[in-house]
Amino acid sequence: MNKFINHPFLDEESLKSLPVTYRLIRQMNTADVGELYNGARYGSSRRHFSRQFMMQGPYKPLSEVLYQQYIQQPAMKKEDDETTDPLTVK
Amino acid sequence: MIALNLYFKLYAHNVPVNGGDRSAIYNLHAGTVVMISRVQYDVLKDTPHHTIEQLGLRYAPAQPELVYNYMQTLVSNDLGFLTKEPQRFPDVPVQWHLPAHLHIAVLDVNKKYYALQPVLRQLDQLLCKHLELRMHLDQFTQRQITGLLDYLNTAVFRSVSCITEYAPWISMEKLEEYHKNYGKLEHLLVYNAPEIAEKPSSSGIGWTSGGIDEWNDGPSSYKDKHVINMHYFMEAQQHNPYFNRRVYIDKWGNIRNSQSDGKVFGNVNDHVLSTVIRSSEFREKWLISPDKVPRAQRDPLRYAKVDDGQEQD
Repeated sequence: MNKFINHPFLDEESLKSLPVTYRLIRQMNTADVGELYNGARYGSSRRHFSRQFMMQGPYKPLSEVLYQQYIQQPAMKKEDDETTDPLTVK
Repeated sequence: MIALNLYFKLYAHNVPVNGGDRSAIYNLHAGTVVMISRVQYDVLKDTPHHTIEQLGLRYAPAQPELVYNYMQTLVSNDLGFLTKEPQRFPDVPVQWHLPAHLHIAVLDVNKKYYALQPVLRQLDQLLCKHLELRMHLDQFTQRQITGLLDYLNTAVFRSVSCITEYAPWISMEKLEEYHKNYGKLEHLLVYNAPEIAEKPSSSGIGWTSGGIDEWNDGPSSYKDKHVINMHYFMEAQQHNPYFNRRVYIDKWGNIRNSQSDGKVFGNVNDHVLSTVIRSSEFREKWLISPDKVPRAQRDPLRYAKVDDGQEQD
């Protein structure tokens, strides 16, 4: 998925004094870069000797109260529709 | 036209699963499922061994272009790719490990029946990863809650969710303060609360004048609901992901497998938690994977469903 921003963040005046490669710089929102852990929350853990113990939610529902965020719709596409099944011998 | 002399390979995160009448391709990265027919599943299982042309002659000798079109459809929908060397792209190994004795603990906190701190210490020793506390704030003072959160913030838990009934000393401002200061708090939910105009600034905070069921559909919450991700899929190969490494302490201190399961294995006032969860009786439901359940074996979505032991029509 292309998350790059297509408008230049450097103006022409600045670009004139910079190497040509600066014209090829592409911009992404920080929130879209997972490795930067933007918005991550931290606690600590004595057992792990860590003062920056990242909060990480479970990958499955804890209980029937908060399951919505873990749930997906199963059938995003239907490949077995008989009218379009490429393996159906007509 | 697709290159017939090449092999088709599903991306490793797209895993085909067989079923009775239908099959499915789980996209474990995107969290989606594509339903396919049994024949299409058989073709997919054969793709590492035969080129597209060979597959066409094998499965649809009268009309091999049906297979070619199917392969083209899969490539166009970004489910796989073409290669001369399928053996260089291994499948994701089917394995699941958890370096903790417990994964999820749900506690119905009631000071009248059991003390909370010893239970939390035991859960900390068991390296429990996720904790859900169901509380009644009128049983605690503000100072006690702060002390509790201070302890939880340094304990071994990766995340803590608190679902509590309203008490007069709690306010949205207080919730925001707790959520900001204690990074381990994933959710802070207050129910049976008076109507207020303020909206929470974070998605982790909830405030409702309704009951606890405001955030779920009641007893049949898991019906027709699916969890599709790599961890859940791998865990479901050998375990029941709902029950596996889960413990529930009810308001009387009884130790149970889950909220939906009434069988009691002990009480926190009389038994050590680690001894109870290590017993084979307690762990029995952990190992009942979907493949061992007769009503689930033919369901292609069996590795995505939440089976809490309740009958799902």
